[in-house]
Amino acid sequence: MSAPSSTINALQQKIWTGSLPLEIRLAASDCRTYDESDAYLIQTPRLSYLAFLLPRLHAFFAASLINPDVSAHEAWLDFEGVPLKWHYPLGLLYDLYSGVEPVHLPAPRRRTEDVGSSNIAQAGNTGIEPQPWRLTIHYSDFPGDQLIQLDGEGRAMQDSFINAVKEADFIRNGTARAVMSLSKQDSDQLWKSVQSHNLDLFNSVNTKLLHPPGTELRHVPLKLYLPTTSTTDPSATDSIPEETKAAGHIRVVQSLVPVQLASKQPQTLGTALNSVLPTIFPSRRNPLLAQPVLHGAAVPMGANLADLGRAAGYLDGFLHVAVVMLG
Amino acid sequence: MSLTRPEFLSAARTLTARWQTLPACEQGDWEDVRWFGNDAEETSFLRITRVVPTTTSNDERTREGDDEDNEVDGAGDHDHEDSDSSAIEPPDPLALPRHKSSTTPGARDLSTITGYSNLDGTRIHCDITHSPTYQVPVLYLTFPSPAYPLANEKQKHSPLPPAESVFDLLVPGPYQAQLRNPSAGPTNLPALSLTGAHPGTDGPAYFLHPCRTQEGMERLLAVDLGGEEEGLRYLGLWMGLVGPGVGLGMPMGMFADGRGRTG
Repeated sequence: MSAPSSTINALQQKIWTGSLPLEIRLAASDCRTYDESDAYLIQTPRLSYLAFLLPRLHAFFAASLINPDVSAHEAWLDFEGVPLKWHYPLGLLYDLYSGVEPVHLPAPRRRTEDVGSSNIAQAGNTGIEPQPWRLTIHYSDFPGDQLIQLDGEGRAMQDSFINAVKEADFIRNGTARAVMSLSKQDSDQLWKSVQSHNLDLFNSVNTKLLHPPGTELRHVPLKLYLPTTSTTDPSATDSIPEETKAAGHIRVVQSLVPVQLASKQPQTLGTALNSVLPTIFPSRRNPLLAQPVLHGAAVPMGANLADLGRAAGYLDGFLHVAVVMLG
Repeated sequence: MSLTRPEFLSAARTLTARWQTLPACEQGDWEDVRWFGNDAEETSFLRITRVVPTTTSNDERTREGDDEDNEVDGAGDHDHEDSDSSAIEPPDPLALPRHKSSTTPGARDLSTITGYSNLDGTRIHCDITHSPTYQVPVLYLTFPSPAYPLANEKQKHSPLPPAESVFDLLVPGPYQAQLRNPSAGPTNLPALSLTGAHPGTDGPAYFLHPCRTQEGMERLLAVDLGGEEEGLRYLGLWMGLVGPGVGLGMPMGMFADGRGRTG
């Protein structure tokens, strides 16, 4: 049974207010003073992208730069040596790399509360003060083999976002017509809402994408992120070239996940994980070897996947779930 | 029309085996064809390594009627405004790749990318994956670093050349507007865009967006090649659909006479 719209909306609102404290320092190799420069502290929405911070970071660090002529978009950020991908939302990067234990939600009182707002509200009251996530900003030695190069007009970010929105649309409806038929004004507003983190503006367009006339939801856009080592299976025909696998390499797993099981029962996160990654999730009900982490929380395996998609999708329409191994 | 993953895997194996039996003179500008990874993993892919020879495409573009003087700021507009039928029709699926034309004296050389080319030309990895979302093949383009000292420090860390250089190197004039902005016309040619997510390497790559591939393939599959393995037939036609925009096509001989070849 689907959760009521009010519950979905309340959860979406809570997720939109989720944010992370960041402490960003300039790399010593780019700093013209012997002592390191001051840190830039900012609270940033989990759903947002690090690239949007670059103009203000550049303004803050410009006076400390060895090369004062470098542009804002030439910067890149890392966490403990792992370059942070521009096209991953901040919350996903944090869930993948920070090493911080996800919040565990209390057992639901009723099944329909699996994705209910009360759980998230309680999860936010754990009493643990979040520590800032310490990142480093660089203006040289760009890791072009791992990151896309940004541009001054933000085209690379916008293209990347729109490509993901199209893919999510195709997964939901079997065609990307809902995105392709958006008016120019709607497309611009969608991107503007992402840049300005404006939920009302976002929903005014996103509703058209989630509920295009004459279509029925087929699949739920879901991407699973698994940390990997740089070693490859020796039985492979030809290993994927090692030089392409750097620190923080992530394996992204996707599959078309129907909203209903063959038995007509609703698909849950647990049934989906069991079907896509059966060796990592041998049980449909319990996370035995690994846990699915979304927006900093270990998501209940029994969560209705369609509801989760509506309430807890990232801005591009995908559920970006980090798979964190247990033990 | 879609292509299942088992069909894709089988076709990729057949294509690799068949190419390896071709005499060198029939292998076109493909330098190597290889499968990377395990079949079971969605990160596996077929890599076709091409070498685009030095000084190739500019004279061809001139023949196709592009105005050289307006190329930098006017090529896109020119094609967009024209919207002639040849620009919006799907490319001939059986067309041979356009390359290795003779050098025009004095022509501007657009066929090398500083720091990515050597005397042979520019080496390009055409990586073909199977999209679990779109259920079609997807073409990713990367540019391996050349094995000689790099032109400057910045390029050492930037394996991908800038988009303008890639367009100049690979995309013939008539296709430029469409590959930059597919909404410029009702075409099945996909947009050439940058992604940070090559499924096999998790790194940046150029790719041809697959959102309209199924529609295009539906039209092309009306062509009857007869006798070919279904998946390979699909892959050959798919290359005819998306390949011309970036100069990728099947070498002569792959379909000309399949008899007696392995696969």
